[in-house]
Amino acid sequence: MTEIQVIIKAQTGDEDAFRQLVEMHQMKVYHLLLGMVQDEYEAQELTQITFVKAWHGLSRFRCESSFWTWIYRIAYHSALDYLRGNKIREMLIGDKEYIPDKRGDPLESVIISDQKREILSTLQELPVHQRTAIVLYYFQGLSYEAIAEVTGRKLETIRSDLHRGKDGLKQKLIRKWSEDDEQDRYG
Amino acid sequence: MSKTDMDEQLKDVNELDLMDTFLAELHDKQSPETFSPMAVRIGWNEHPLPKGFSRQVLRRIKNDAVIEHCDWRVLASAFCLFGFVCVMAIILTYCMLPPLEPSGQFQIASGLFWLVVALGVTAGVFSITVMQYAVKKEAFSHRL
Repeated sequence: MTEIQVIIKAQTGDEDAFRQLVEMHQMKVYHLLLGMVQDEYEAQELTQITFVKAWHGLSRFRCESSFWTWIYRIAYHSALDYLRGNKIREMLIGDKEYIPDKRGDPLESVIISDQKREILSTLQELPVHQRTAIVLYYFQGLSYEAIAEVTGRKLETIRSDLHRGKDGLKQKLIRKWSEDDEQDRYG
Repeated sequence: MSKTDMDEQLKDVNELDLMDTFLAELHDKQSPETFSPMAVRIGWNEHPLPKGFSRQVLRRIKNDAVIEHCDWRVLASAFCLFGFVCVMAIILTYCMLPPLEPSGQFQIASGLFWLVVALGVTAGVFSITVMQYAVKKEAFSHRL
């Protein structure tokens, strides 16, 4: 059965067909969200929210664009809503509160954070639109046009997000490297 | 500028040039479902989702549907109950009060007036809340 046939079946309310669609796209969506929110637990939660929203809006999906672009758009907006909510919460609370690592084992989290060195960990410090553009372009290999379609932003804006994001990334990396060098030099 | 500082800067520039090349190559090798060795090297690994994730999604859809229906039912029932209690309170108070002199009639009328105003405001707030919810839902479906 082709994807379009599965979509049409799911649009009639067939839960098995929708489950098939979830299974087809869950990893892609999850990794996009993981790149955007940088937290496994929240990314899983947002992936679920994305598919719940997709189920409710499925009848409005006309096969004009690809299904994954449509679902990416939902995921992108869900992550933006989540990040905006987080920002407001941080503003209200003040400083960022300490959130214990949900992965459990502290040693495991040290190893994982050690693996996500350099570029990926620095990515977290960039503004959300620049971070998203970098995740979509470099880590998911999407074209400018596809990113524009997913985010609903203009091509020029995407280009500038990507350019600024890359510059920001470089500057943050220079700072990090020089700090590391200093630490190495002076112990 | 000391020689060491210059060396450091040159090293940074070289590393950043390498980063440009690295990123360009990364873009070519990656796709939403591909985790190339280059990406894995900098921490872009494949993270598995818990087993039965799709089943969890469907369970959530069903639960949400039940909650949504319950929400509407509970709200509508609460509002009807509130209205009924208010009307009964007015009738009972009116029946239980001894007949008043003409000056007391004015107090009853003004009391009733404020009661009606309070009920009106409550109904207004309720309608605005419901409308906001509906508008939000509509805005989301337009965004899809």
